[in-house]
Amino acid sequence: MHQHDDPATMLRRARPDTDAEDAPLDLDAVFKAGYRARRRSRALVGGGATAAVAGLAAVLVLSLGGAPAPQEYPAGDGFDFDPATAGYSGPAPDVWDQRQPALDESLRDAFGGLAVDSGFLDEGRLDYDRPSDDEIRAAMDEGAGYYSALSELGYHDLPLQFGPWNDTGNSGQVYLRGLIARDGDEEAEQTSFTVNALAPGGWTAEPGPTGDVAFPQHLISDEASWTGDAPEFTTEELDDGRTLMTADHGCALEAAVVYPNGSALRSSWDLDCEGQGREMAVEDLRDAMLAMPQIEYDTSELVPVDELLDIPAGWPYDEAWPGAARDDMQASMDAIAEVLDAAYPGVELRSADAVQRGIMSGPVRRDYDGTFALPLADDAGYAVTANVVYTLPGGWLPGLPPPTTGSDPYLLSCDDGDDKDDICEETEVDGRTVATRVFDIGDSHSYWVAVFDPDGWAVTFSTNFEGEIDGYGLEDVIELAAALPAPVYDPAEYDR
Amino acid sequence: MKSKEQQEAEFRSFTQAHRGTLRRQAYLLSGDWFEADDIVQKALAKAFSVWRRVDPVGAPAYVRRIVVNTYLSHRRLAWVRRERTDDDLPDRPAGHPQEDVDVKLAVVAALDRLPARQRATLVLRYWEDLSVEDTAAAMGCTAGTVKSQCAKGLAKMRGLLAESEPVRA
Repeated sequence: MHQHDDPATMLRRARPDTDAEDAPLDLDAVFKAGYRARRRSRALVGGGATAAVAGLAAVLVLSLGGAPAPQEYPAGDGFDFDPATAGYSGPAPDVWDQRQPALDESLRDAFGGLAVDSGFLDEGRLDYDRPSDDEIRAAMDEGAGYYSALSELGYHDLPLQFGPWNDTGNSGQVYLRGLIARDGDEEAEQTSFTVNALAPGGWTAEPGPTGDVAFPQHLISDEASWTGDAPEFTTEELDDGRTLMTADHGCALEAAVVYPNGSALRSSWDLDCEGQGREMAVEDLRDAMLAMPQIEYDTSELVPVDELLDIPAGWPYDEAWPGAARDDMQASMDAIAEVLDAAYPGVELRSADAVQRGIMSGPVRRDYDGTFALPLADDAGYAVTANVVYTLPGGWLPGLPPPTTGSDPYLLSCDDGDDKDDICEETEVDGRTVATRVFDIGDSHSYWVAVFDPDGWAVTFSTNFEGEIDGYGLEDVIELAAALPAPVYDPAEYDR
Repeated sequence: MKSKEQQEAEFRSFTQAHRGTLRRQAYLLSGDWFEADDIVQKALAKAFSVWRRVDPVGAPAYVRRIVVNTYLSHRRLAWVRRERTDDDLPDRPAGHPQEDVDVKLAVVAALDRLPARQRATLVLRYWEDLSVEDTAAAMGCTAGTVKSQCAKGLAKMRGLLAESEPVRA
């Protein structure tokens, strides 16, 4: 009997240690994201499905019963700015999408046979039914958005089924919007193919490295990516105004179509890069791409990026960094405690950690994050706490975001999306920029104060309490935050 | 209807009481504390967006399910990664005196190579010690699916571990 004959016992023996130190939780971000999701739901429930979909009509010339009518590719009204250097202030609202049923059908018509014949899908996997409109409306009446309702009804991430797609441009200054479909194999680590439709805005048809690093993003790459060799790349201008590009990487195929209305469609197919043995002819992919209709999008929220924010590069996630930064973080927290204790004797450091914040697979910010208990009690009888975060240089911008800019590159913002009456202001204290965010609900006060130092670091002081506390108003908190010393770190390491 | 302030206070209390458990669960699923914190943050945001409709008694189970779904979504989003997966399990430290360490390394490496749902099922059953029914509730599937996923996952683990187990004289 070998050990491996009883993998269940081996599993139990191998249970990892989960006694890691607690990490700070950004509950404010949780609330903001939650309120944003609620607002999206209300956009539909309040306005009614019909009103909410106005302006979203798809120009889909589909014949459900007989032969397909000739497709048309109207250019539309165009833009009086370059859509490549434009974007949206956030992800598309999750409202009723009347394009979706017909789009899914055209997607399956165009790519279904190709995916089956090439070995990506078994034929039976394309037999699924969308929930009825009544079922979807019932789920939406419970507060879900359109695609959330579909998801709750089990109609999501199916093979060749479009769902919403959003991506950030220029580190979150703007968003790109569109739709994406995958292979629907939820047990696979990576999808074997994607079909991605992009609304106008934030991308360029000029080939280049794909992903969200460059802005505008490149639709398709003519450089080596799947293998060490550059692909065989072709560009074809069609008489109807479309442009087709293909990239044959040998073990993978990619293709993109740019439409006269400024939208695009791209797809990528992993044929044999890991020995899967799938085969697909470039010509067949070309035919499938060209069989898709041009999709119309609501571009009323597309705004040009007048000034591209020069966001200092963030940091790659580094598992070792929190440990390496621990001593500096602790010294920084001790220095904060000293300043706070001088103002309010009896301050206690509750928890502290060196934290990397960012999205998975993207760049991160480096923070020293500490929570302090102050020797103050509010009107509700609770001890007042303060969260103090040092943000080291890299991956963010000082001040408050301009009105048309997403909040991602900034440390503090009043998100229009939440339904609190919060107020953001920018001032200057001793030559340094100070941003404040305040919101009051009844007698409850919440303050955020961010002080931006010219050396590239920032400190954000946040606190909330009930009622009034002598010597602990907004001005006092600003003064306190501005008095905090520089964090302990090696400036040379951050001077990139 | 509860005021925003009441909802926030209630949710804050819920978070304080359950965050540690959710974080551990997310870590066991993902194997990475950074990803675990990201998963919990997203799961809590989703839970708060519908907090008005969540039954307080069922809230822990509900949020646990969101954590599992968020983990599975993370795995699905891995399509952007194009690194090849190494078919070989990592070498174990030669002559390591502690057999438990060897076992742990081999098991974690094998577990990492299972499809996301199989991995999640095994983690919930064998590391979280959930019953078949509770695992099904967390996964949003039937008890039968949990059993079949467990059987498939363990069979695959058996094969992977056999490959990595050194031949003993």
